[in-house]
Amino acid sequence: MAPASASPQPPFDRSDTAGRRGPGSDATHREALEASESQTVRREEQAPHELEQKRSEAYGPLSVERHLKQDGRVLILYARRKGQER
Amino acid sequence: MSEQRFNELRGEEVVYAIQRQDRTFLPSEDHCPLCPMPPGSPSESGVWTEVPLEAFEIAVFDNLYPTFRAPEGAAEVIVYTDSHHGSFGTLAPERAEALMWVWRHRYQELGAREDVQYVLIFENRGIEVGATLHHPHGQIYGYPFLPPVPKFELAADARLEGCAVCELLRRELEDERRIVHENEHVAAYIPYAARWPYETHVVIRRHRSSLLGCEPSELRLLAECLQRLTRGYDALFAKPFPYVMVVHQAPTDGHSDGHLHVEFYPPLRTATKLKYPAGSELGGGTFVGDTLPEDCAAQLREAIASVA
Repeated sequence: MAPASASPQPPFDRSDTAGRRGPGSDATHREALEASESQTVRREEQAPHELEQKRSEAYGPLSVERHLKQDGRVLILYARRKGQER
Repeated sequence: MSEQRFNELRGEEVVYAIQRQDRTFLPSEDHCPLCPMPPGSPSESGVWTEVPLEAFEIAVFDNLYPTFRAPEGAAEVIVYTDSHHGSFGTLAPERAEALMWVWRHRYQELGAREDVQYVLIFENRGIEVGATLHHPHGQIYGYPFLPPVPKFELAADARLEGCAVCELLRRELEDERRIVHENEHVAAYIPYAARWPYETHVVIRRHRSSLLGCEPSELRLLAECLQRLTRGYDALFAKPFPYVMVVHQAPTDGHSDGHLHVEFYPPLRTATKLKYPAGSELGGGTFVGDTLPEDCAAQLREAIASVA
């Protein structure tokens, strides 16, 4: 660990980030994603080719759309939000 | 699942991910798994893609052949564009800037996981460094342990009694001979003791532990500098320049610090010759260079300027 004088910034703080898992939790990232369904902002009919959209959100200038692939893996689509062009 | 073994003689972890032996290897464009669905393709057409949409901007997904997998880490793929051709350097500036935000988001989300101690964002460009897909893309590993290189950086902080990257940046800016490009927020240089002929470090001037600490203007100028450098690399020998690009940030163990910077390890030493890690490098752990960093920096600086 760097000496405290190395930086005025705190190191990575898990308490202040999205998707935090509680200590001792054995939930996987995917399970956490599925659990977040109750917070779904927008839920559409199943996308083409068996993609299931889970939720949509904004991050900085980007829109973030989360999907589950047929085999259970996560697919995240990022796009620049309208009005966020430089 | 991967198996992790501790190599006692070297004091480091080795990961065996034997499922990766059968991963897709240099497919042709019409079998590229990172390309979108061809327009109008029915789902039963047999066309298989990781991103089954007709178009997309940036896509991230769990690696089908993961080195790490929850609850013991993570392995993701980042596809920069739905176009099969081009490179990080040829992305539209707005797309490269958006990619910085994607990197930041993935660092934040993966770093928040209890099973991820270190988030490594990287790109292997070119078959010379082991890329198995030509489509412009990178990868992210969420290590369930702290790997050796960030440990070296933490040790350098302790040795220099402060942030080593801040101190080395100060020295490089003072010396000037190895600077290849700089802007308001970012400086790029071939380090004083580079191990690879054209190894370049792209460093945020202010001490930022990670992308999370960056202002939007810093992310924009980081993207600008990275693109200038990669286009300069391509101009250097007038051909696509292979490299390994790695984003260095603070470990996500909740207590270690770091200084955001991006390191490039290109294997070429001339237009036609590769620098191989061989006897001294692998057996002794000491890199032997055929060129001086100052001379390579002068060439690279000129190449970057030529494509500005």
